[in-house]
Amino acid sequence: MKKILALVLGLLLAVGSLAAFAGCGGGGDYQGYVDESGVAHVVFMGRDVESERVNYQRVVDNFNASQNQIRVEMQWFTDGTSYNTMLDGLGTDLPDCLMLSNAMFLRYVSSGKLYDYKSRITQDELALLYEDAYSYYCYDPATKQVGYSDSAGLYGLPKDMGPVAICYNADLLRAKVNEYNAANPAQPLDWDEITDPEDPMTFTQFIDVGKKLKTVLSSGQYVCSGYDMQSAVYSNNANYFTDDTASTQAIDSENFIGAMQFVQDLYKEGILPAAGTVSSGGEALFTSGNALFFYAGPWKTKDYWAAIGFEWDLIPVLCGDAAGAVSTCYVGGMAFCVSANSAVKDYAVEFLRYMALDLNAQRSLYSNGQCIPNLVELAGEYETNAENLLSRPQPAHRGVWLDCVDGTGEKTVNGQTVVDKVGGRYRAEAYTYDETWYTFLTDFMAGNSGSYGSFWEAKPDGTWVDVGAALRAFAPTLQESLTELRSYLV
Amino acid sequence: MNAAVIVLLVLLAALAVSVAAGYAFSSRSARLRAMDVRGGIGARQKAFVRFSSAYCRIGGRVLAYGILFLTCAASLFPFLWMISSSLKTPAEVSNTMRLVFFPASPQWSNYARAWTTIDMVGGFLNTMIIEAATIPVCVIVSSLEAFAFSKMYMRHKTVHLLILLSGLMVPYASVVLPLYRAYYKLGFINTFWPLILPTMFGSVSQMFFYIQYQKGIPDAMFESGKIDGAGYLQQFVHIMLPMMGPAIAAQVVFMFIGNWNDFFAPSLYLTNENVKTLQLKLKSLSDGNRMDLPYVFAGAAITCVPLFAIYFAFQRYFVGGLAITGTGVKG
Amino acid sequence: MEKVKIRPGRLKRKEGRIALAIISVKYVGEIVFVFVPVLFSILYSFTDYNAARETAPFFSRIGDIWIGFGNYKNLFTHFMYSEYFLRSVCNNLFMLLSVPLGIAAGLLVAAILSQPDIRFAGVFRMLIYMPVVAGAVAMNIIWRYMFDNQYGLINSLLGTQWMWLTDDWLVKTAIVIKNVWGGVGRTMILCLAAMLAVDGNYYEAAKLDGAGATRRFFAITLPIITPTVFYLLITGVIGNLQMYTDSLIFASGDPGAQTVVYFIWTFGIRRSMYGLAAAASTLLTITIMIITVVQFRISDRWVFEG
Repeated sequence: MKKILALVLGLLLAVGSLAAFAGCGGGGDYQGYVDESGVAHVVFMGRDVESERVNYQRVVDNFNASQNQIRVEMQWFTDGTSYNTMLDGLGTDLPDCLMLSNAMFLRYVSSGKLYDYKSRITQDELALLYEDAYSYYCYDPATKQVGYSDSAGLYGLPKDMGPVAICYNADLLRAKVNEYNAANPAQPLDWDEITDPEDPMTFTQFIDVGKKLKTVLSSGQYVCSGYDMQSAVYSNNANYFTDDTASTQAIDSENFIGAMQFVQDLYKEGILPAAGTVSSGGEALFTSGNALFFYAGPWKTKDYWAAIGFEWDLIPVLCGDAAGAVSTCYVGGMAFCVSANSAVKDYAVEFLRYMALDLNAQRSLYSNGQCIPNLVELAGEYETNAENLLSRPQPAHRGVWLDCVDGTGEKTVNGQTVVDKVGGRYRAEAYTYDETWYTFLTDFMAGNSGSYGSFWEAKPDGTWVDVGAALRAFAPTLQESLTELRSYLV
Repeated sequence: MNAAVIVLLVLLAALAVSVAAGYAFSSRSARLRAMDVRGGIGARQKAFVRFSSAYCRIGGRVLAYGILFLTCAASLFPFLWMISSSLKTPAEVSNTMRLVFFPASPQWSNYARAWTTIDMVGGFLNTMIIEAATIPVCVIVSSLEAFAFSKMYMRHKTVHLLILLSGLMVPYASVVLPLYRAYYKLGFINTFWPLILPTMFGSVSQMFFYIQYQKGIPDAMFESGKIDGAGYLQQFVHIMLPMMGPAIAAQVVFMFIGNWNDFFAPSLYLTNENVKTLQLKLKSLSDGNRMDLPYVFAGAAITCVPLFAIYFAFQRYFVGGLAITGTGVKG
Repeated sequence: MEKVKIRPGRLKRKEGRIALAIISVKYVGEIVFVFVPVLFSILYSFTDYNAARETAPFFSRIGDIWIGFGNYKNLFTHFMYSEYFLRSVCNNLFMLLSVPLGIAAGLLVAAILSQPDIRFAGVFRMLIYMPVVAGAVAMNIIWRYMFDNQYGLINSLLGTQWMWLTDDWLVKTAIVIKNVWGGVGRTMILCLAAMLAVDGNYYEAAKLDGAGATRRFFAITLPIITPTVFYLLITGVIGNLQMYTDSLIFASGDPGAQTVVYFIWTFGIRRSMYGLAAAASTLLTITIMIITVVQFRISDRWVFEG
């Protein structure tokens, strides 16, 4: 008996020491502190793919080198599930500085776990930023509403503003337009009209262009390998809800139905690959040179350096046919937030100020294909490469991305009045407690839920789902889920 | 290339037919051979039996080797395809028209890229530290626990076993939150403790395996020990452990592979670049490069190499040893 | 083997105490790393606990967020969640197919390899075992590519255009195929070990009695290796019901391949709805437990334990 116990204890000790030798001593944690010499140690928690980690590590290193008051230590998750587990597991002890996706932002901000640093960033500083760069990270606990207002607090600065635009394979498109025009000299396609970076095509125009281009594509090639649904909705002067509190659904409105009808038409006409056939995602089709159009945000630039061997460029997302429609893509990405419980929260804000407002930080990020600059004053140099920072290929009309975030309507540029026909709007999931409702709606439209079947493919008898009838039938259910999610906001 | 596919399909079909025929004959031949042994048949029938049993033995052979070859081919093919694909260009990988096994110009740069973008050596060392710290203790503790179940008197054995087994039935998702909180409070984040600590008490599935194995070793060997007055510990160390070589070898390999491939727990607890394991590095590579598949395959192939090297080096002890000694049956 | 109930002697009782002391090590581990966290999980399942929203410690709020069996009811009736949950249960049941198929295929290969006159048995054994060695992440990536709807090798070879990765049933079938592939080696090696240990005399005797190869397999080999098959069956079913990476990496979350554990992760972790997820995981654990106990019960009848 004693021997057994001795063995057990011995083994445990052996393991303990073995593990200690194996480098297990000392615990690292995610809360910063100020050390005896007055230097603040701040933990910055990131999450995304390896190439982004490298880009942000560079900014962190530059920040650490630029001053000696604050030491930022970056920690990085590559897996989203682990990241969420970490956030929930930590409870109120969140890392000093963390990234929150737009679908998670409201959940955390409404719980009071985030630090309102509106008082730490001056109005003058905010004025340097695009409005899209901060307004969506404001939250007003009184109205439980996302968006900038005088009473709303500022809880985040953007990792990127993430506008999307339609990207096209310039080499292939040029060849196919020429091929089509050679075969149909009577009704040629207009290259300039298709690729105009300032005047977006309408839904109808695009379907017409698509039908024509389809005739000259070889098998395995597609006109468009994927279309962003939120951009279709926003661009048709429609929305998922009636207002920004996201309490009342609007998916049964004529314009919303029109937008979805357009997406269904893309499938019907074979402009998009048949639903379900593209398991590797439309992106792989585009990068392998088998699609003319796809959609991309600025963060894709760095990934496309490795994956794409052709010239690619941008046009704005398509404009809807409904009255008052303006080409409107979704904008907004992850937010940089500060934990309300952090011991070094003001130092963390200093770091965020550097990330979001410093010229060098912003230049480092845009030149590495990470994002478009947050700062209005950098727009020009980004668009024209005035500083010669863009050593690797960027889409020639990257200004389309800037157009998405700089507002719409009449403006004066260089003394001339122009009409900006391209805008952006925050992602729909970001207005609600979580994205359950959105998955639910997408699943309904894809036929994974409910009894209507998929919007995106013909039924066995060759007919297609009546989009309007289906959405109207689904609206009360969606309303119920929005109401439930709204009730979660404390 | 299409012709090659057709030839391959025809070959497979031929193989399937021969396999089916062989199967049909083999059972009949065995029956006839048995009749032959009993000697209850006449000379003419005997001649037929000899003829057909020879024929059927060939049929059986074809069947047996056919199945083996097919299984082998199926087992190996994905690896070969992975290596082949890792040498292609992104365009070749996503070419629907032409399937190529040997790319025209092998892109060795994919390997160079994968090797340089992620710190493979650091990841490898971290993985090896975890392996070294977990395996020895876990194996010994589990086999001792199994010994208590298989060779010692214990009341309500099945109940104890079921209670312990129930630990296996809990999905990790449901225990991860309290565990994470505890590890965090203990300062174990970015250390290997969360990965090592739970294995120090033995693993239930290993223990369960050892119990099944130890049941096959005759009780008599331990009865004599009891009469000699040897302690249970001596019995375990001197009699049981030496006989468990193959079983332990098998579980060491299982555990090694398990640790090597473990992804979720490391990704949760190890967020500092210095402590990340090889699997985490591979995952970060594959997540960020959905479009650049050859590069991902190259990374995957690199992470498989040490695993296969270790497997080939030790398979003699493991596969061979296990097969020769066998789990045996209590006689 | 204590068929006759006799009060154990002093020596026996001492032995029993020592045995308990040994397994208490495992009990400590289980209590710390499983039972206590599970207790939390069961408590969560009766509450409306949402880790993102809660700022106070769980126990100080337990009275306010207690909703009894609400989460369990929601799993089956809630208009948003029940559909996902019930579908994941059906998917799981279908994917269980890979357990018997994998065992059958592994047994067949093992039966052939155990024949004394098979040549290169060692090489075959080594190669067939390779899939078990390979990493799950790497293998999911390569299988996904092989099953790809457009670029997939499998569609090319079959000359079909099946939507392996997006069709409700095909994606499950693909997962079963992949898992059978991954499981053959393990079954083979463990069964082979058991088979080779069978006393050759049994076979000689059976041969003399006129038993064919097939019959010999079912009459002698199979009963003798049942403990191994039993082990494989139990661990296989437990492992299969907890599948998650297949849904996540191989099927990238396709609804046709979502498993119960995938449901638990997406709702519990990605959306912080711990109450709902804990209810699902409690039900899953209970189900696995019932299946295991039933297997143990049945095994009393058919497992050859000598």
